[in-house]
Amino acid sequence: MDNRYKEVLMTYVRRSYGSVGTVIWIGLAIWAFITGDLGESRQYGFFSQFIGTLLAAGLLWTHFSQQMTEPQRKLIPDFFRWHVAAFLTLAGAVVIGLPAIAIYRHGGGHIGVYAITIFLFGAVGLVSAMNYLSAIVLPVACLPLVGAVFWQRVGDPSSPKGWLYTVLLLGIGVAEIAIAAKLLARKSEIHRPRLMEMPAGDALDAVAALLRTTEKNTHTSINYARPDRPGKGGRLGPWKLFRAILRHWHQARPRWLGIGFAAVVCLISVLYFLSIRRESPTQVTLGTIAISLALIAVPGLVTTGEWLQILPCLACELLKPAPRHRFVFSIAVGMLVQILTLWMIAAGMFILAMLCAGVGLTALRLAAPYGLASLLFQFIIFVASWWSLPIRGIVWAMLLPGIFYCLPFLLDLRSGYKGLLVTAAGSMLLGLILIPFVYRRWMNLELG
Amino acid sequence: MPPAISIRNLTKCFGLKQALRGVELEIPVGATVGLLGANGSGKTTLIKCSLGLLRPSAGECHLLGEDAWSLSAGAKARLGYVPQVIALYPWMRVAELIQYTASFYATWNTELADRLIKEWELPLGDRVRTLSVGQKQRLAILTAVAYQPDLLILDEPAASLDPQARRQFLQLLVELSEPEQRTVLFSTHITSDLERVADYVAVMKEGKIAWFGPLEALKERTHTSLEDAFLEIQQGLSNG
Repeated sequence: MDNRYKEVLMTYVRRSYGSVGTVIWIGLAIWAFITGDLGESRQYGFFSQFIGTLLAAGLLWTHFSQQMTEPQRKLIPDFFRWHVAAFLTLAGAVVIGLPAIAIYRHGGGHIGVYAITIFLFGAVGLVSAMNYLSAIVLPVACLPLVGAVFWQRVGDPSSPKGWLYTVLLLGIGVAEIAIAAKLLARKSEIHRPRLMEMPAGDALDAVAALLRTTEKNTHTSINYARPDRPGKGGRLGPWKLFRAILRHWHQARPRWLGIGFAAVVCLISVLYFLSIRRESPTQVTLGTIAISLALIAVPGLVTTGEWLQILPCLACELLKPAPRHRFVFSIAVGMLVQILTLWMIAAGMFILAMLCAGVGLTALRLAAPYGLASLLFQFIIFVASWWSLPIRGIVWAMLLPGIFYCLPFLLDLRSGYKGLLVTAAGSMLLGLILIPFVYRRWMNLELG
Repeated sequence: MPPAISIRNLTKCFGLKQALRGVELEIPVGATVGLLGANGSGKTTLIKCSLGLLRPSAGECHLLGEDAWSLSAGAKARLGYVPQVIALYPWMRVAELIQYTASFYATWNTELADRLIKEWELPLGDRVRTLSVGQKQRLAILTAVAYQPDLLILDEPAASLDPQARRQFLQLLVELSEPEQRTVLFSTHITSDLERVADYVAVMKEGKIAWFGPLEALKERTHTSLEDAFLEIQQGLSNG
């Protein structure tokens, strides 16, 4: 093996897959997907594949696109050749290796997994080529679309319609990858690579300022300065990507992007709600899961104002297969919980805020652990990011979706009360564990 | 033998601002050239254009006989560069970064690298992000010189070094510039550094080369110290 290839490959491994959080997240997802008995609850398996692919692809593309725009790329001999070789090796593992294992293990009927993987990988790459900070945000935003496609059971291509969706996804995925490659090639020739300037909207600043009501909050909020320049960022990891998401939502055209995203989530939610009304009231498919994942990815929305914080909660409520009176009740309670939580956070009452969110949302989610997990996760990430929680705490907080979604699957708990107990107990426990970190950080900060 | 660096009528604009205005410069192989200039005079832009990191608005740059914008792998392997703003991989450990860089260069001199690591007391096990600015500067210099490039370009390399490290660095620079085929171009504000190392001086003023020639010729012409000569040039004197 050429030494250059080995060294370049190691930079990807060290930087993209070198953190404990990443290893556990991806490892858990892959393990759940490969070892789990898909059977009736194949949405868990697919979801495991999703979160594994999403993170692995996001980290891979992020590092690759940064290297392709790194100024010194033009001075190191054969720089492009070896980086492309290393990238293709790891991309092959993600888009060919994993789906191949899945298809081998679970049969050809799961070829939809392959289509989804290509689609996701291409979407991440496309966004990454445009602006690597968004490498995770927009693909996550398009997950409802994937969920909607799966809602049509593309994973089971026994019908012409299923095949059509599979081919469509594959085609889109391949096109995305091709466009990403073209964009990156063009970017690598830019004489002075610049990051996207991210203007902060006035209205956004005003809302954010409202949330930073205390002197302590002003000084302890995260640094929204321009992100690292290409190639200068630190080792990648889930925490870093989520902070990038926060920055993105906080600073990048929130007035149309944020609202558009929220609208898509709500629209899909409504469509899904209508569909389960028509079919089975207890049906839980990838539509649910995709939107849950989308909710996980929008913690940054809270920084744009309370109303945006409320939307995911609304969307989650819309998803829940429940009678209409309970549906309306859930919306009311959900909004109240979210508003109270935000007020408590703004006042610095972290423990009360944590308990409020935990107890309130647990009460709401008796039949839908997905929503509970995503919202609690969202909340914890929000707290962690806003108050610059120590990195280790954030990394562990990032494990929540993996634990929440994969654990019930691995333990064969499915949903229902057992799943709920695991989810609720786990989230509350982790939330409580994180509190000392928040306080320690808060107490030790230099406020001058 | 083609000159190490050949710049013809180089102009570079950033929007409406003209950073370089028709620069003409030819640096022969084996020369050690100090690039002097006030802040904002265009030194870094000139270096970046000559390396092919910036595309000129007009004019042309040739490096080691090749167009700077499209250097071959062979030419890149003969080229060393220490930027003004050090952009090393912060997540890597020092040893990993050295190993990574070494893998790209067949001419990597392990003996020289080990010697510099020892002399400059670089902590091999530490991550790059934990190094001080001066340590990062030393590491950047090490990774640029250890493969013994034929053309070494340094943009204010001693700016962040303490006096002892600066002295060690200048000694290294003298040592590196000894082989006849090696060319060194470095920008600096410190005229005493330049006097110790350079045999040619290029003085930049408002995006142009206001003076270029042997160091001794400059001193003889102005009959003053290099610092005073530099100030005189800034006030209007040129060798054109």
